[in-house]
Amino acid sequence: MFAYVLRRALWSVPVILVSTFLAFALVKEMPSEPFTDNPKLAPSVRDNLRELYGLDDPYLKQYADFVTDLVQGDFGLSTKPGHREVREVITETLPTSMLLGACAFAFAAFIGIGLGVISALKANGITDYVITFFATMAFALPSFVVATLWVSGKIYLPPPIGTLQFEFPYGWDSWGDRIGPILVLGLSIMPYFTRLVRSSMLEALQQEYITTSRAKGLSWRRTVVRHALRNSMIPTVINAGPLFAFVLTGSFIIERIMIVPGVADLFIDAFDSPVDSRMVLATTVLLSVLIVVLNLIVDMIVAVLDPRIARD
Amino acid sequence: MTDERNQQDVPPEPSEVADLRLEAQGELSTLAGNWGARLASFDAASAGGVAGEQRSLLQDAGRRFARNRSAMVGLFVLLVYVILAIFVPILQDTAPATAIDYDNKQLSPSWAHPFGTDPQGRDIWLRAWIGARISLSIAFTVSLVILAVGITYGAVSGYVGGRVDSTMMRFLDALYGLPYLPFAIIMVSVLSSKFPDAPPIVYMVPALSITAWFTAARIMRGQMLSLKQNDFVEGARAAGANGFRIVFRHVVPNTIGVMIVVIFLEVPNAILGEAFLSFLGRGVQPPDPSWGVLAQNGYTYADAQPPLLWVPALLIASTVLAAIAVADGLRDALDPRGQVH
Repeated sequence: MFAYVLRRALWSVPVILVSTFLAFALVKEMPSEPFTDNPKLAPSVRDNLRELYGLDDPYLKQYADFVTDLVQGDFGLSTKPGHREVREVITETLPTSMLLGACAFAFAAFIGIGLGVISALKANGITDYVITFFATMAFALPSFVVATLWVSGKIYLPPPIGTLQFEFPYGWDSWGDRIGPILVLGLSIMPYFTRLVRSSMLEALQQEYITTSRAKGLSWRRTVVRHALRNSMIPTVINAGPLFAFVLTGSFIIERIMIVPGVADLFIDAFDSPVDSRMVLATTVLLSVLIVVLNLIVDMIVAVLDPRIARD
Repeated sequence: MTDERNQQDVPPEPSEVADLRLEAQGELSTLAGNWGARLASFDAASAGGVAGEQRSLLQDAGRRFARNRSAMVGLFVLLVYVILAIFVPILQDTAPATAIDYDNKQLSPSWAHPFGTDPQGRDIWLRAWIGARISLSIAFTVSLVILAVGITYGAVSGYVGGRVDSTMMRFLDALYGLPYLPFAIIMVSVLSSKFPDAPPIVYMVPALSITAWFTAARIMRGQMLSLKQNDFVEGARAAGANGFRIVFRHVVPNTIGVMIVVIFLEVPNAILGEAFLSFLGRGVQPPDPSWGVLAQNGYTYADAQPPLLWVPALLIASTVLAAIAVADGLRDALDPRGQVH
């Protein structure tokens, strides 16, 4: 078990290197180096700036410098007006995005897994169809539409009643307001949980150990909770890493519409010309590292759930 | 309580008997090792007779697909959208889609403007179908690109096996760590600056595919691992075929069913991905009215003119639903054992 965890942890080093290099290489290709396109800069000033930012160094040296700075927690200066430290700006906003993501993820996992289990136990019944319909709808309707409707507070009903106007909470000032973004973001990933759990639960229920445990005289409830649920959680947990990544990036749109002071505005506005490449790079790399770390945690949970995986 | 029921207590319902029989027959014909035979035996069983002449795998699948009502509705919806997307901009004058005309702004639906006009006086109906051209062509191209890359990567990895396979899969693990949206936005930004006058498909397709082909590669590798055990691979090798020929001539054609399903599974993701990026203003750029651009515009005027949001929202949602229904139907049609669930 320990060896397995160590191996996975070591493996995450090259993983992070690959993703930082890809991010670095792509951002290098981005339009408008901040100083080349600026006609107001005298050539000598521009050359000095390029030297200051190390833009004329060999490619790999720039990458090595970037990684070294990164490891030391130095993300460089923003090239946007104000020239603030990228690290400072990100530490102000990223925790908000992560909190939103974590709450939405927990909400979606709780509801989604519950619905998935019910759906599998009542497979092909009316409850199953209602849940599947609801989950499919939640998947198909883009979250920005749900968010927009939520913010506008309008509910459209057929003529005799007409349009109803509500005041739904949104924003990030109090926990009362935070319900809005959390609910809407959670709703957008809930269907993934429901579908995953439903199909893996159905699969688990057909296994012979279910028959065995019933034959041993275990109650149906115990069989479901102890055997079917535990085994059907493995595929769900394995997919939890990518799903969390999806929540973090999916929150960009929710943050914009529902006025959450997260990392989204920062990241998206960084692309306005001239591109703030350091901000883009820092955000992308941080999100990559976050996902890698989450996947590592997921691997460990899976190893606990299914000891066979850690043994090979 | 249905929860407490097990098969000893309650006589199984007729449909369950059919399911069980189906399973048993599936098992039997798996022994023969031939998927087509398994499908044929299923069809014979459902017809209630003895197996007649053998039909091809695709004929069988087509028959079963045609019986699946939601899949047929999905296919119909997709076809209607594709036809409208192709022919509306050809048959109708497209000028009202782009010409700003404040005299005719925010008109209600009428014969001249079936969905009304937006606050700039542009025809929403026309913009919706020009948008369909952009969004649908992007979505289907993305699926094909994902498929091509996924097939090649997965097939090579699965066929070669051993150390190469584990390295390639590890690399895939590494790529799984890439956050989708930031990389897509960076790609759009890089490509649209390199090719400033290119149509949106040029920068949207790579952006949406770059982090999306991993699953296809995984599926393909799994298929490869199980298919290469078959005798026909051994036969091809004995006949002197090289690795490339075995993979692409003998094994890949056997995965066509799975791959068609993958195409339709990727379409919803690509449609939603395009809408997301364009909504954030980092995807298709505004003079081109993709569904995401229209939705963004609709969001801006959500209070003043709700249909502006509803039209693209419903087009996106119905396309996603239709593609899911088709994918599910295809999966069931190509693997009858999947219907047990």
